[in-house]
Amino acid sequence: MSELRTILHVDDDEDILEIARMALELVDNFELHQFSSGPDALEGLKTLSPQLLLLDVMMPGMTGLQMSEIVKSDPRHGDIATIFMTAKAEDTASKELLDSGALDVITKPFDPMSLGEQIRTIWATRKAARLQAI
Amino acid sequence: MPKYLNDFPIPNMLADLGFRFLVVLGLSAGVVSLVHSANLGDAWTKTTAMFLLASAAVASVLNIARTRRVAQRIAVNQRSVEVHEKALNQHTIVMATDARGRINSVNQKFTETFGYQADEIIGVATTVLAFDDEAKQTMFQVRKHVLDGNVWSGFHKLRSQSGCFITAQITVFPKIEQTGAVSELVSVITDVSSAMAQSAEKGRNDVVEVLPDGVCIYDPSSFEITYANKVFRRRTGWSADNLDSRSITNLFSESQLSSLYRNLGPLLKGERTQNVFETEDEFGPVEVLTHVVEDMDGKRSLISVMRDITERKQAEDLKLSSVSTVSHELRTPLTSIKGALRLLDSGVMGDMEPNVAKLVNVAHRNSDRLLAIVNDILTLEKLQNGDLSIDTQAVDLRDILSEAAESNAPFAAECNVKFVVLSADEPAFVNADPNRLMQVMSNLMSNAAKLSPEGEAVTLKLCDCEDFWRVSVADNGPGVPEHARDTLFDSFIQVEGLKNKKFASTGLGLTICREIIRQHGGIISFETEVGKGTTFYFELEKSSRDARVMDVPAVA
Repeated sequence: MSELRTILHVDDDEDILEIARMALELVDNFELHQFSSGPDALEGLKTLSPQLLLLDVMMPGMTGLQMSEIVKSDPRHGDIATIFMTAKAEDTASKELLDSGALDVITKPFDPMSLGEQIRTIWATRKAARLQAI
Repeated sequence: MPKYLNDFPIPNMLADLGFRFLVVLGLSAGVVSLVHSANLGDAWTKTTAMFLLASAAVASVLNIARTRRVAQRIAVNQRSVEVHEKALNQHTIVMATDARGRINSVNQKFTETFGYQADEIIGVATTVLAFDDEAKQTMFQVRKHVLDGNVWSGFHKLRSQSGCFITAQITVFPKIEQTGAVSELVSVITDVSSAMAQSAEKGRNDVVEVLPDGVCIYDPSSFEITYANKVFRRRTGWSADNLDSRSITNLFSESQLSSLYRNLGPLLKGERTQNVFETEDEFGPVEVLTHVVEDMDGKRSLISVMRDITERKQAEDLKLSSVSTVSHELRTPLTSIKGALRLLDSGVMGDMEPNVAKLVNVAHRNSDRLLAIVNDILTLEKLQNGDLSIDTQAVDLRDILSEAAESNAPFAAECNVKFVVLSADEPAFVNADPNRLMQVMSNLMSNAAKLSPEGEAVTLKLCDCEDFWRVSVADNGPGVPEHARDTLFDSFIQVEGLKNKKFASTGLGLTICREIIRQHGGIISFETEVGKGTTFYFELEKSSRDARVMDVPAVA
């Protein structure tokens, strides 16, 4: 299992992009690529090869879930894992996201000081479980 | 027409004397004439003598027949008198008293009604029958009035030997001797208690019948209905004709019944005089307010007023759902605000001036508070919509108490109070969701910690209440003022005087607690005394150990 280094983050809220950037680049040392919409991110994926997609769910135009479905259907990005971020915290909504194959769902507001650690933990435990299952 | 023959003894006596005189006269004259005719041999005189003797014989026969007829009529009338007296005894109480108000004689109906035997009551002052001092005063005035030769009629409040209240319609008249003196006061009394009660009940029922809320009156032990008004009958589909055969228990499912009994328990034990709980019938949600009432004879009844709260609930739901939508939208900006403040506060962006750091801390703390409100609204909305799953399992409440004390200890330390746990010696199992119970405990404990005077203890206690376990959280705080008690569990209620400037509340904590406990089929309530403190408690039905044993896989 490779160590997590590169993350592609998509959120339509510029401020949240900024907070997440500080959290993941300053507090942690991830290689972070950020986009403010699904279509922009898909465009970026043509040249980028992140290990993880960190996707906001409720975005105008294309939701995080729709974007993850498109990425999964592309054989070039088949092994990219996904973690969703959402302000909606209903159990039913989280279940739908997890059923789509995501590693986990992080609820907003998140703590920027522990966001990197939280993502690493999810990556290590869920990714290992996935590999074992295969 | 005379009613009774012996009402007129003089004509009767004259008739008898007349007949006797005729017989004696006829016999004497006949015998004298006969002797005389024998001496004279006069046929005419003999004939006259024979006629007189025959007349005397006829008069004698007629008198015997008449006497027999009179005797028969007297016997018949005697029986009539007995029947009338019996009828009078069935209906009316008769009592004679002397001029000083002491009882001289009573009839059979008196002993039946008042419970005193004749030998117990004769010679006793009539005031022993007065229900209260007012009735005694009336008795004195009536006696004076009647001793003056008047007749008095009216109503009196009397009391039986066993203390039962009797409403009596009374006529008192004087028995006047030939000298003109009043020798006795004769009272003719009719017990009109049941008629008055029926009339009062009818009057009351006429009003209650048209109330917009459902009202029913029922027996506290059998729960059988004695009265139900129009709205109540409509909601239950019951007809006014067959209410006698109905019980309040017919209206509830088994699970609702256990809740009903628990709610009515404190009323029946006399611990409370009224109780309010919410439930649901086929028409929707209702609030039931129940009172215990006691009549003059000490007979207790329960009166439940059932109010349809559909509209109120809808308004609450509407308020919550719109608030909930807004809450979702609030979480996004809150993420940025909280995130930015947290990064500043943590120092990763460099050191701040002390005043700047203080302001950042204020902003950070208040963003936490705002998030707590948003989260509580969402939790409550989910609970009320049934979206929040309750995963029940066998839970030992002793564990909940000790874990709650441990996990909330840091908050207690902030408030400078401590949690004291009084647990049970034996396992205290209930079927519950441990996470939700911890949520309830945290809410109750943080309220108690905030309101306790510094340095004091908040007591967490586990009690065995027969079929239930009761968990209580007691503080020595200011207590809940009377006016705030009924609405304490409602949303966004914060009681003036109980607000804590240092530790703010969302105003939803107790509403969430109530919803969680309700979804566990339990009850939550509180006891409070202003100046002394408040004890919040919840009760959950005991579960057997078997429930937990069954969860453990069998060892082969």
